Amino acid sequence: MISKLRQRGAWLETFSTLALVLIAIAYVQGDVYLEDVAILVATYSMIALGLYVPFIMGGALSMSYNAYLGIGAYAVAIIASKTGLGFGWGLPIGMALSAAVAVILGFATRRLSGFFLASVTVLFGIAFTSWLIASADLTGGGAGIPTFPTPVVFGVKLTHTIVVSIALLLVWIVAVLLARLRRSPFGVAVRASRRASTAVEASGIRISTIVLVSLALGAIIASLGGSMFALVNESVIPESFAIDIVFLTVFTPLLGGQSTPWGAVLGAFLVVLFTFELTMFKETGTLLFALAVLVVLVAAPRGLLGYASSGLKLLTSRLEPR
Amino acid sequence: MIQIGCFFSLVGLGYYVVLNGAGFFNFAIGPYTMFSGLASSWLVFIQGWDLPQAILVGIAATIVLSVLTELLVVRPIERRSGGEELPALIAVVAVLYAIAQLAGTLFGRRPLPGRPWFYFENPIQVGLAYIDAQVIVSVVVTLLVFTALSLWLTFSPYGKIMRAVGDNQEAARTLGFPITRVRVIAFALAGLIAGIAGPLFASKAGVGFESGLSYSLFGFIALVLGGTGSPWAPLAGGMLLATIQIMSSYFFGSVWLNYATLAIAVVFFAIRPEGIFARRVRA
Repeated sequence: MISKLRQRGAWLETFSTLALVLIAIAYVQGDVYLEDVAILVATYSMIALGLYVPFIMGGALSMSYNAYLGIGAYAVAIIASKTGLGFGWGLPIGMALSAAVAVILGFATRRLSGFFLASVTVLFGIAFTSWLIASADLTGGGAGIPTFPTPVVFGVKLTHTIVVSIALLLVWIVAVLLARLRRSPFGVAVRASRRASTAVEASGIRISTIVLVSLALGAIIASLGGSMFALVNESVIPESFAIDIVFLTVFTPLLGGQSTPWGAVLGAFLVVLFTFELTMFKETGTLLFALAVLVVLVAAPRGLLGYASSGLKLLTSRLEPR
Repeated sequence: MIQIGCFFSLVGLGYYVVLNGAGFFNFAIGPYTMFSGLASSWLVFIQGWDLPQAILVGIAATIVLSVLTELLVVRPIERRSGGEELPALIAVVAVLYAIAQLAGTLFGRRPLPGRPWFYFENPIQVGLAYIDAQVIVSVVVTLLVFTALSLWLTFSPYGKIMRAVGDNQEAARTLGFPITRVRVIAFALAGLIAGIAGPLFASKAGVGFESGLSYSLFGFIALVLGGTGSPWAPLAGGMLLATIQIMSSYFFGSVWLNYATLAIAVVFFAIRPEGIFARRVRA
C-alpha cells in the first residue's frame, strides 16, 4: 500500500514538474531577456543538481564545480571554433573530461573530508580559472572565445530559443533521474555513507568507489550545464567560470529543500531572482541572498520544499476521512 | 615576503584561537580580515578620517562580527546538529559569503588601497634589499600579537581554560569550566587578531570585498602547515607558505602561485595533516 502510494507520488512529481517546465518554455520563448534569465536558471540548476549527489546525499562538500562547468563550456566552444568536428562532439568530450578530472581530484583528496576537502577543492577551482586565463593558445586567455558559429543539427539551425528549451528540458530530465537515483540502491548507499559508513562497508560496498562515482556523476551534470550555457551565448569568457558561481549555487539545495533534487532547482530559480531578475535588488541582491541562506540554515533547516511538503501532508491528513 | 608571511601567520593564529576555544575551523576569518581592512581604508580614503581612528573602528567592527557569528549562527547550528561537522562547515561558508557581500554593499565593490602605518623618508638599505617602514611595523606587530597571545594562554585564567577546552572539550565541560563563555572569548580574540591583520596588510596589496576568500584559504594552509601544537606554529606555517608562493611565482610566473598553493594543500593535507609542530600526547 505504502509503496503504491509512493509510486503514485513519484509519477505525480514527474508529470507536474514536466508541466511546469513546459509552461516555462512556452512563457519565455521569443523574449530575449526572459530567455537569458531562463538559461541562467538552467545553468545554476545544473550546477546545483551536480552538487546534489556528492554534497547533499553523500555529505562531501566538494566545491570545484566551476571547473566542471567551464570544461563543458570550453569543450563545446573549442571544438566548434577550432576543429572541423561538429559542435555535438563537445558535449560528450566535455562530460568525459569533467568526469576524469573529478575522479582524479577525488582520488587525490580521498582521505580528506569537511574543511580540508572544501579548501582543497576551492583552491582547485581558483587554479582552474587562472589556468583558463594563462593558456591563451587553447582557451583564448582572458578574452575567451568570442564567437563561434551557430550550431546546426540535421540542417536545422539551433537558435537561442531552441537551445534554451532544450536546456530547460535537460534540467527536468536530470532532476527526474536524480529523484529516482536517490531511491535506488546506489542512492541509499550514498546517503547512508554519510552517517553510517561502517554499516555501508559491512554490506560489502566500498565507500571510496561510490564517492568517486558520485563525484564523477556530479561533474558530468555540471559539464552538461556548461555546454548548454556556451551554446546559448555562442561565446565563452573565463569570468563566467570563476569560483563565485560555486558560492552562489552551493546553498541552493539547502534553500530549496534537501529531500528532493527539485529543491536544488527551486533554489537556483530563487538565486537568479535575487541576483539578476529583480532590479530593486540590484545593489543588495547578493547580500539579501546570503542573509536568506543564513536564516534558512539557522531557522529552517529543511528548506522551502521540505516545509511545503509537510504542510501538504498535514492538509491531506486533515481532509482524509478517519 | 616577510610581510606576506606575517599576514598569513596572523590569519593562521586567528584560526588557532577558535580551533582551541571552540573546536572548529572558522573559515570566516578571511572575510573578517578583509572587512577590517576595507572598512579602515574606506574611512580613510572616502570619508577622510585619520588612520588611527579608522583602524580602531575596523577592529571593533570585526570583533562584533566575529562574536555575532558565534552567537547567531554557529551556536544554534551546532546545538541542533549535535557537533556534526558538515552543518557547521556549510554555515561558516555562508557567513564567509555574507560578510563579503556586506562589505561590498557598505564600502563599494571597487578595491581600495591601504595606507602604511609609518613612513621613512628614505628606505633602509640592507644588502641589495630596501626595507620600508611598513615591513618593520608588520614584523613588530605580528611578534607582539603572537607573544601577547601565548603569554595570555599560559598565564591568564581564561587562557588556561581555553587550552583545557582545546585539549578535551568534554573533560573541560565535566570539570565545570564555562565553555560557552570561553567560546565567545575565542571568537572575540580571533576578531581582534583579524581586525589588526586587515589594515596592516591592506597597505601592501590593497583590499577588495572579494579578498576574504583567499585570506581564509592561505591562513588555513598556514595553520595546517605549521600545526596546532603551539601558538607559534602558525608563524612558521605562514612564513613557509609565503616563501613557497613567492618563489614559485618568481621562477615560473604568477599563475604558479595558485598551482603551487593547490599542490601544497593536496600534498600536506594528505600526508601530514597534523602539521610540522604537532602536539605530542604522552600515552
